[in-house]
Amino acid sequence: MSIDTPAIDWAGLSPYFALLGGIVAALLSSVFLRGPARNAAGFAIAALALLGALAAAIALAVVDETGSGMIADSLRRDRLADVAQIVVVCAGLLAALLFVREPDAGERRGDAYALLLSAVAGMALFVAANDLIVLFLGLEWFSISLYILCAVTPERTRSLEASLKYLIVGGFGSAVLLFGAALVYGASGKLRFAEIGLAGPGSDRLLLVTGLAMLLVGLAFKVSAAPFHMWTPDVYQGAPTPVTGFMAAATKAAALVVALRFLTEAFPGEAALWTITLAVLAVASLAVGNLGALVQRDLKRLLAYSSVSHAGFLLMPVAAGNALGGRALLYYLIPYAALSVGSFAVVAARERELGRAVTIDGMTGLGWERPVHGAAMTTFMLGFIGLPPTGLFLGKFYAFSALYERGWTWLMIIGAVFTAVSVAYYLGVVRAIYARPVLAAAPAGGSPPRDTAIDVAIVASLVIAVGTFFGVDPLIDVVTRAVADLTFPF
Amino acid sequence: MTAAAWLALFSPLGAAVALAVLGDRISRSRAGLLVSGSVLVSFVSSAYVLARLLSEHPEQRSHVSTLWTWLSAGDLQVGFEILVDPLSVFMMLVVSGVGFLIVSYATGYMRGDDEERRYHAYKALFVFSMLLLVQSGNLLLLLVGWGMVGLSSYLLINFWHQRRSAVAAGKKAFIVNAFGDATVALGLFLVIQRVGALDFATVFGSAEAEIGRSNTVAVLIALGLLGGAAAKSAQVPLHTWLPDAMEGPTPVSALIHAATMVTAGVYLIARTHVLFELAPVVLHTAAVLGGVTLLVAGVIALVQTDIKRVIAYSTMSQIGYMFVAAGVGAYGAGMFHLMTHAFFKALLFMAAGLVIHALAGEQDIRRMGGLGRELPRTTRAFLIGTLALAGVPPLAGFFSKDEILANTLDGGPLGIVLFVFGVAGAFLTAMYSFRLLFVVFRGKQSEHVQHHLHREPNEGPLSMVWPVGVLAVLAVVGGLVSVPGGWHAVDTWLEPVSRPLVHPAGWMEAFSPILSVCVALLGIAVAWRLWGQASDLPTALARRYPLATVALERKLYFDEVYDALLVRPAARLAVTLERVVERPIVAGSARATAGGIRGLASRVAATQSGLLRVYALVVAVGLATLVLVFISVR
Repeated sequence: MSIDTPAIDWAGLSPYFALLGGIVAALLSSVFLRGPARNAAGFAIAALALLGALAAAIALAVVDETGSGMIADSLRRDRLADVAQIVVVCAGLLAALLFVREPDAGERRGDAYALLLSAVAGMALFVAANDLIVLFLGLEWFSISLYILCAVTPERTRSLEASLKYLIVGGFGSAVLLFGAALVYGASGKLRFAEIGLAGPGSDRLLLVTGLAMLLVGLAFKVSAAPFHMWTPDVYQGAPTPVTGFMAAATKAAALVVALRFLTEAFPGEAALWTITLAVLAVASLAVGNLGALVQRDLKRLLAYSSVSHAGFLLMPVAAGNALGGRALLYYLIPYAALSVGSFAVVAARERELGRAVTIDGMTGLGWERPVHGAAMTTFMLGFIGLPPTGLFLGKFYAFSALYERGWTWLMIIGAVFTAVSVAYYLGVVRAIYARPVLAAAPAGGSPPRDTAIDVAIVASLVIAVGTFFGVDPLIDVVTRAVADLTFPF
Repeated sequence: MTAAAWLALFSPLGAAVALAVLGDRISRSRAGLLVSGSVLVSFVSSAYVLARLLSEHPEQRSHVSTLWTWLSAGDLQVGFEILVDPLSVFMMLVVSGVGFLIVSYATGYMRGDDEERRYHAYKALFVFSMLLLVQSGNLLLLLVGWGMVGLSSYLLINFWHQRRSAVAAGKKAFIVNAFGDATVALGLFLVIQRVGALDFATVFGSAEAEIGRSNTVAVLIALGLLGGAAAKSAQVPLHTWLPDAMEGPTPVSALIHAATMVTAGVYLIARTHVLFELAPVVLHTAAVLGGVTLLVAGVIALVQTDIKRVIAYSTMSQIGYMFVAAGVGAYGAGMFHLMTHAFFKALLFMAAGLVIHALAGEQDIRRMGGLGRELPRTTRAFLIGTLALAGVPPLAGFFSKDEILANTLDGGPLGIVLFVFGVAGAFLTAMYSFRLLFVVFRGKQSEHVQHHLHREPNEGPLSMVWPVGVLAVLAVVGGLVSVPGGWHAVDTWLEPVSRPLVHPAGWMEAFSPILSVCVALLGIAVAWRLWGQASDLPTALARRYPLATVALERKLYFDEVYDALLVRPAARLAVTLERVVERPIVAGSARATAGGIRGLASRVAATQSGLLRVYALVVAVGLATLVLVFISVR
């Protein structure tokens, strides 16, 4: 007799295999190699695995004209997942570059690469999730990797504190999400998103909406939307800067893409409820993020609040609940990820130069000492405001267009007002960059050796951020195809 | 072919970026060579494009090439696209050809300047912007180029930023041009609203159907474009920035403020003539502005004492002719004059630059004189430029100016008036241009000249002399491409793009040159009588008409009037507003708002206690609220 082997979609799984193989190789290399060779091998393996995953994801994005299910339909293989994976993997690549000379990581850099790959793999799974189990699995996979990554520099107390706080508060968030998933399953009897959506009318609404509320909280947690953002400033500040850059770019992107897919597929019947909830969360995030950023002196903390405020901007197109909003979200994420990693890369470079945490005053004179870094950081700051020539200008344009189409002018106005507030602190950084250098700010113990990897990361982020402005039309084409399979409620 | 056009466009940009990136890692002379080389590439590519276009049927000489579509919002699509057609190739050749000569000249002129590389980088940026302006395939990209030439002009006018007057002149040029940019942008908004597109083919194709003829919208669109054209081309009443712009280095004056940028207004009218023809009133306004400018500038040029300012007023006056041509619908004649003017005016500026170079920076013609013996080659170059400018046959200016005059005769009653203006202008042109020639090169050497003249072999570095020679040749023979009664190469070439509205009869083509040559000779004779020989007639005249003299020396009080009407009331209003509104209300409320926001901000930050139990509490409260709300609205 023969055993029916299940059909395995090797091509569709190829990004995961690339990343998983990378994790194994990186862990083995960090066991068997010593000293500089371990770091070099770790980076090489991470870069190879990520490039492999990137190539696979791009290839899939080209060929996936219609979506399909994988592994008993628990994973989706479609352009939405492919594009999200491309974003996440690119963020991982840039973060890997930042690790090359991270001084605090020391001997643990080899492990850091393995953890980074693991986080990327978790996110890749997360964004492809097609049922509640994989949703939770992916979330925990990348979260646990990130908890450990935050502590990869244990000599710094802040790093340990950040990791522990992230673990406890994050654990709380995951528990809420899991409970919500259980309630939804209890109400509908289904796990798969689309089936939950179909079962919606016949299920117990009390359980269903309670579950929805809890799932929303769990996702808002990862997006760092207020009031579930409290961990963000502490963790962003305490975590090693490369990790912060990766979290800011990738976690948010993954969580938002999942939210978009999950909410539109599983809860079309409750669309009025979740869109208005997301709009309220967006307003709260805009308020908390922008107001909080105004009084920060520490640059990483400032960028953390900025990331909370952008959670608000990114929730706006999802809240609009229309196809234009879906396109806007996906487009917005691309330059936003580049700006996030890029700005943390500049911070990392400056941090190593000064040998201490970077405050706004610590940026004084950067534009004169390191013209490329200064110009890049200026572009990133202007980009966060939403000014050309970065893609975020058009990202905000599309996000506001989506709200306009929905008829939510009030939310547009709130967004515009908080954009005006944000100008104050972003330009504060630019002012410091081009202020005349104070001699006292000279680096303690001389300049660190030239770090090509970090320069590459900064320039690459700059190219993506600016490139998305000029290449808007092809990108819009890509993201339009990516969200074409989703059915939007409005 | 379009690839060559793209190469022509991007080669100067590449040079500018390279200079910006390399900084002082490239030597000064290499920087100059890089820029002139890049502009030469543009010229050669443009010539190649011309050759390819020539081999095609006239009606098919139009190619749009889109690098990519930048933005599509609804039906409006904006792409990075260029248009290769007879008009754009004509302008590309003028810009890159004359540009190459002037950039080469500048490598000699600017040698030894502290910031030579910055100068060359700006210059390359300008050439790119100008090519973008003339090659653009849609109105938005045209506006981008339009703004960027304004920017590079600003950067180059106040290149010597240690001089207060240069900085002030740069600001003035920028503000006046920004006014023009704004009116163009407003016009484009109306075009978007009515037509829903910005690319030339769609806009011009459906303009009449979507906009209509002679209605308010058509007039407003054309007025917006005319505002930009008049500001960029320094036409009355937006002309006051051009004489001040002479604060920039002389090659800048030659390239930007004589040969290329200031003539962009004429190009704009020729390019968007369809929109102008929908509002004939505005087209006629353009012609009248040109007519007034050519007289006003010609008269003022008679009494100015700065060698570059005289030439600047002459530029305004000559662009006035081009506006007259474009305004009566003789686009080919206008573009023809644009080309010959680029030759002889660049020649005049560069010869003047040689004089200034020889006199260690002196620009006041009252302190010159008798240079003819010392600088024979410069004198010859200047003489050729002057003869061409005055319209003496068979030099370039004669053919192009007379083609304009002949065309105005076919323009109805308005045309007759403009013809009279033009003939009077020809008299003035001959008079002021020969005044300059006589005062600078004839007569007794002033003490200043005797003390400061430094002689060089060849009257200047080779890099400065050979472009002057080439331009002198062009100023002599450049007019022969179009001969009245014979052939009209420029008209024929541009016909597929901008069909002229007037067709001068044979007698007009015969009558106007004869009349204008007589008038020009009369002007030269008067100039000879007044300034050609030792005479106290000029001072006697000045004493006899003191009011007129002062009025002219003050440039007809345009600056004073603007100062009194606009600048000072604006400043007074600003001061009053600051006292009444700004400090108590705006600043007060802003301070209150900012203070409030800061207070709020510190409170937000204060919730961030760093204590985990607080975080968990907030999450729990948030979760509870959400669940309760969801359950209650269920």
